Amino acid sequence: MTLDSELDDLRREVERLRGILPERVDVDPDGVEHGLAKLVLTLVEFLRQLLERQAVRRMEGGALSDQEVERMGLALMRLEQKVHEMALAFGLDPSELNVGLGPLGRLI
Amino acid sequence: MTLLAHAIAAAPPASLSAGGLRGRPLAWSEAAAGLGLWSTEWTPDMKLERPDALEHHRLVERICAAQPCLPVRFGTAFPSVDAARASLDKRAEALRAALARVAGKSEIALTLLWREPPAREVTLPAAGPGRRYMEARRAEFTFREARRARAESLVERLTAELAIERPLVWHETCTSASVAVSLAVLVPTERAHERKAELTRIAASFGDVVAVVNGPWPPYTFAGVE
Amino acid sequence: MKELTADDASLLELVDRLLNKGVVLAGEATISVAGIDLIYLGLNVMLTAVETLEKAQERRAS
Repeated sequence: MTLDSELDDLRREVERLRGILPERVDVDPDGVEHGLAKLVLTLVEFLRQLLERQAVRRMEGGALSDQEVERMGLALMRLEQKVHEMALAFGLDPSELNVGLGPLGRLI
Repeated sequence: MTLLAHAIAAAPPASLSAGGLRGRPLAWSEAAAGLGLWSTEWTPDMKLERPDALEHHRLVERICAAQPCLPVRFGTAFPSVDAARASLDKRAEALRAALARVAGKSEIALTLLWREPPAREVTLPAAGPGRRYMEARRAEFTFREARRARAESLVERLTAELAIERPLVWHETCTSASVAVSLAVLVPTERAHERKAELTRIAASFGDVVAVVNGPWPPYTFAGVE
Repeated sequence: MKELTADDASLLELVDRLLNKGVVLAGEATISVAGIDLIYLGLNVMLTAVETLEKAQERRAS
């Protein structure tokens, strides 16, 4: 699986998730939807960071052309923005998505 | 009767002049295998909140001061006394072994915080936005790796200078942007304050971190059974 | 970048002990008292602790 297709897949997943979730959510801070959104977005954010790490490693390894680096950077940048937007849409501060990764945090 | 679990101990139960959470009754449920569960009589509709967690901690401290015990993860509940007993019976051997490991021992917790905030200033090459993003990420990862390596070496130094065996030490590094090391050691209760002072002294010698020491606490980190 | 004080660190360590350590009897116990809420409680308690800390830091800073 190439990095491009991984990115495409993740992007598709994010879009699909966005599609599944209703436009307006009752953002009750104690509500289950809010908690669920936080869990899901935390996972998505984790995967996004994992992907970024892989991409940087590939760049460091010299395996990518300048053009590929530029394209990948733009794609990752857009992904970051997307997750950021979704967090805000659920009344979450994007920084909340990084809390409590524990042992998983070592991977990123 | 729903039971909100606090700690497991060997029978007979110590005589405690303590009540359960929120002024509710504290119960001792004894299983067949000579183990028992300290818990609060709860109702299914009551939701747990932060003050309950802290009260649970204070209660666990009192129980552990009275008899060797295994702290149970906060929020563990049983729908009935029979369910609690059955659970203890099922894991009796492992629980007894864990109890033997922690009896007479307390936990000292050490947190090492980075003095310097994460470096934010990075010179990026003149290039497209995508490349600049990648370079910024690369700089960030390099910095994080360096911190991780430093944190691990701090743990090595601490373990060596404390002259403590590996099974009695638990640690995690870089659990957040501010935390370099989160470490727990299991020490004999009667030496707890002495060991705490030692840990503080060793940690104070590290110039790039601030040390925060807590405890003696009940042996939360070492109570696990597989 | 928000930094932790000693008190913040102590509270976080304690909350970590209470929510993440200790004997787990989940296999047998029916954690249905708070049910699924408990998972969120775990996050909420921890996150509330973090939020409270951050607010305290903001107050101190201002």
